[in-house]
Amino acid sequence: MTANNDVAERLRTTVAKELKQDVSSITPEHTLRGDLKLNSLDAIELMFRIEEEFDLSIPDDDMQGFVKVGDVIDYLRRRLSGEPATPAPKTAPPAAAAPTTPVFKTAAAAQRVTPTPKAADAQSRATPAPKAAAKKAKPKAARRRA
Amino acid sequence: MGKRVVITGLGVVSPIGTGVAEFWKAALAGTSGISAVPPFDSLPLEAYRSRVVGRVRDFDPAAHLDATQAERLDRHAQFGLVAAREAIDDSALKMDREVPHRVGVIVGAGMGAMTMAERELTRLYLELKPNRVAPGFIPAITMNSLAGLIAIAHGAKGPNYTISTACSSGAHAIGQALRSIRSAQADVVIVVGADASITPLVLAAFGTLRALSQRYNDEPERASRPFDRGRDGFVLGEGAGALILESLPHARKRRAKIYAEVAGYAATSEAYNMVIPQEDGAEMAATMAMALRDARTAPPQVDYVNAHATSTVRGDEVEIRGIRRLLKARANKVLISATKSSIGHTLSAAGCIGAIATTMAIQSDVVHPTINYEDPDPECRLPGIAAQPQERRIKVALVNAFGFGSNNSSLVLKRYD
Repeated sequence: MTANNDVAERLRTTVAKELKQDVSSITPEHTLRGDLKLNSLDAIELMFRIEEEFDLSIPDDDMQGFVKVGDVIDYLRRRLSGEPATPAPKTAPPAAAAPTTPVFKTAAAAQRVTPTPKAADAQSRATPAPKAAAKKAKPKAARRRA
Repeated sequence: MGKRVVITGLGVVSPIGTGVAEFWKAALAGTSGISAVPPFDSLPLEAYRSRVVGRVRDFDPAAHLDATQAERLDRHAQFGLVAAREAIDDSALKMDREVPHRVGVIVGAGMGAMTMAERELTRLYLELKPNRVAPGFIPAITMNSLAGLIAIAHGAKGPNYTISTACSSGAHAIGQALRSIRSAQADVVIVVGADASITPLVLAAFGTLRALSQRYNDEPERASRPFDRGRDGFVLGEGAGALILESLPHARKRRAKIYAEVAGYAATSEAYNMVIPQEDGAEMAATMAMALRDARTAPPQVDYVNAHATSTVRGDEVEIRGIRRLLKARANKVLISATKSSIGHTLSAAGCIGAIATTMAIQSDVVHPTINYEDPDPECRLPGIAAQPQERRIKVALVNAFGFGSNNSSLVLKRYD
């Protein structure tokens, strides 16, 4: 329990540092994109900071599940209790290594809607948009921009 | 020929002040914005040939931008955003009353995000962590980065591009904005020239190129001295200048305050040498002549020249030669000043800041001094160059900006009344 609270506290502090805000202004209920106003690039910078702070590597597919601060807290608790990162290719180098694929696509794909069955093809998996950032834009518009 | 184009807003970030009022006051007062180079981590400063710079010292990004922009954006983009916002506010342009696709953004960027480029490159090699390279690096180092940021900040959906012609980028941006409006591609163009390249690598490289002053390292304020016999190279500066250009009918319709008219523009290449101007000044004269023709005016009408004058031995001489060649007897009558004497060479921002100084001169009937002009060099001596402000009602003015890569540009600004 204490350990769990520690994770929440550390995460909130990490987010607060990244956003240069007071830690009390960050709650688990806050959405990363909507409430905390993180754009897709900010989200990646935040993931860097979290990975450094918690000494782990977060696969792009896992990031897509982060909508609220609380989602990240839950995820970190699972990972820190020994649960592996969800998708198999956790040994694969993180996305940022290949400038031609994921990182930039993230920016482009950030506006996609929550994955529809169609979006779950190989292409969409290659785009590591933190789902937190994925919001509201119509798929058509997203495609055009990409 | 298309619609007439006027200037309705100004904004500046410079080594002698942020904001046009502060800049102009300091320029008239003959203030020098040149100071000793700041420390570059552990690099040995004494090994730099030139250790004086025109740095923007009072700029606090957090005071102007949101926290992430203040931390992440490259310095030139921060300067550009701040100058653009001042110009838009000054022009009282209300984006919610404009047709977004009729408002364009044209930026002059010669060096782009050099500060960020050097920092990230250094960090990558020191830390060996490719997975930690800033994800914002690519959208920051593409030269059109600032143009995009300005469009996003203000919802300007018209033509959006960047002109990269080294030290004349800002002047070309103004010229292209003039063309865009004349050709009815846009009603309004937000023009910005911005540079922030006082970095360890850039200062070293301009030094080894022998372009910079090195005789006044102990007296920074004396280092930038265009037309003076003791000049020995330019002083690397930084900053941004922004102007709102719009068609005269558009400005009238919304009852905007009109500063001056942008009446003419010329762009040429000397096709001669990457870093040295053609000795006889004929190419510079030809460029100025074309700009005057474009403005439907002629050499005898010119009252003032805001010279490119960077304080290099050769460049200043050649420019005066060009002015003499073009203006003939009128060369002894025109006022001439070198804005770089106060702020150093702000590279891509220079053309825009020169145009702002010219606009203010037209507005206030006084041209700012060329500071450190103590011992006139006979090779580039003209009666209109002075170390004091000079009063004159200016109807027609030339703004020169010449760039590496053998490129020249001249603008003609006219009093609007």
